[in-house]
Amino acid sequence: MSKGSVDDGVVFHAGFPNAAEDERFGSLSLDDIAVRRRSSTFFWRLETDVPELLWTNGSVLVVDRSLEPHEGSIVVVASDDDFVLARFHNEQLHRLDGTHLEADVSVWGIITYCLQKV
Amino acid sequence: MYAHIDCNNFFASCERLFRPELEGKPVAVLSNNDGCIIARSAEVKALGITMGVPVFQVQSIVKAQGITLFSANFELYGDISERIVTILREVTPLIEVYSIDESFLDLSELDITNLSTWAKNVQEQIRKEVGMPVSIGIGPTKTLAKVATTYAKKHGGIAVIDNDAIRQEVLEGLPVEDVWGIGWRTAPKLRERGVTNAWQLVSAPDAWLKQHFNISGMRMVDELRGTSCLVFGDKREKRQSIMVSRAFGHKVRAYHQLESATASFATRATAKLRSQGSVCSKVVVYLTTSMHDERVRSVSKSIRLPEATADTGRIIVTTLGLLEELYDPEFSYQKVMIMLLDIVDREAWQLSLTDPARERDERERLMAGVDALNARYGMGTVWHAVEDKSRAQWQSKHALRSPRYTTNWAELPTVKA
Repeated sequence: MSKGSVDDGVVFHAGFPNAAEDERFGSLSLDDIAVRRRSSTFFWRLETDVPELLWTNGSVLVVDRSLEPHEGSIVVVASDDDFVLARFHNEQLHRLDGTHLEADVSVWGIITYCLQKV
Repeated sequence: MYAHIDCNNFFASCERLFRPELEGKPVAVLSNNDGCIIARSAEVKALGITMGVPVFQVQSIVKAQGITLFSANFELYGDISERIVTILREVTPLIEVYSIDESFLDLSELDITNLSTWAKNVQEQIRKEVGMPVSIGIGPTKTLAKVATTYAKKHGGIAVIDNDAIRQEVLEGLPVEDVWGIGWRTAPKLRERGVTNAWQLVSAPDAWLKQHFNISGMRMVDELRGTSCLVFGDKREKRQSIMVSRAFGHKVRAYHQLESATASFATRATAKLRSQGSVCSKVVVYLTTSMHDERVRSVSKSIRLPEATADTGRIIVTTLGLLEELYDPEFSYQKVMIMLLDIVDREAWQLSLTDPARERDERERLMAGVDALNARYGMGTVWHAVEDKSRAQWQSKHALRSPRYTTNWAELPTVKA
């Protein structure tokens, strides 16, 4: 028996065969959306105290190393002993507050998704 | 043709992936209990620090040269290794995973116009996607591919043996004791007779070689001559015995601590058993003091199980029974070892049973669930109550371990904004 609902919110039981009994479907997983390429995807934790940033402190960032940065990409860069977020704009890297990043930083990976608690 | 892919200073390179400031700086990785150096970056090798040296013996060099030490982080290394294997499997399914940091590929099914350009692309892809520097050797046999990798490490990271001139050059540069399969006993004998490098070895007459080598030795010579005779394939054979042992961080006398260690090792051994789809019917427990103690006690006991099993609960109960018989409170112990023997395929064993008990199926489902949880959330998420993890003196020291960046949600690398 499958369960359904009508517009007024009443739950009813329809005597309809459950299609899933014949064909097995996998449950949905966030990996299907967020992990494009498992071997090159890494998860990072965001540490921020900037309230203007749309992403909150503690968010999980999905980072894919196989991608190339394009205009507007947000990337993880290694700068001195720290990893910081940067935006790729006009073929150059800028901090999120707009200040320019020194030229010798290296891009660690490209952020593809941000998972945050609401 | 075969390709051999070998990660450069694998453990040290894994650590540098999340500590890029250590690029070009000396890095070493320590064994369990932080006792010995088991992996070295190129800079540490250049300082003359040898493999396996106890770290206290080189403490002054470590300080003076500012070597960064890490406790082994096997979860991280295993994860990085798996990623590399996944990429290689996309290149070709004809892969033989040789060890955590080495694989062979059979290139026969691939359409490659230029081998060294192909190798450069694979090398660059692994560096970019996983951050791992690798060396690649290519040759007409597995042994020549491996030899080519050794050569590549000193010559730009890629080497292709595709003609006799380059084969001669590579083999002439390979000391005879470094040839795959030549032991420390054979090498001096060969040197005495004027055979100092691999080229001289393969140029020697067969009749003479046969006096010094058995069949597998001759096979190795044939491989170096360019005739393929080693089998290729994923040789992840099922293990015939499974052993889990660890020297304790401190000497342990209290029975409840030995109990907790034993149960924990039994759990790990049984998980290994299940991961290869086997059951076992013999269990051994081995208990020993330090060999340097005044009074040494080193004892073991084995028992045959009434029925083959891969059930953690049963194995724990069995090992604890053996431990109880071995334990003498007059001693402080250094090491416990659990061994599972008489291992057979679970399916073959089930087929041999006429009436599979319902209870067994349920236990099996429970065990599969425990394994799945531990796989998802990290080893040790679900455990039997007797494996008391708290205040456990016996746990290995790993004071310098880096975060498990890729296998534990609580230890992700952080990025600032």
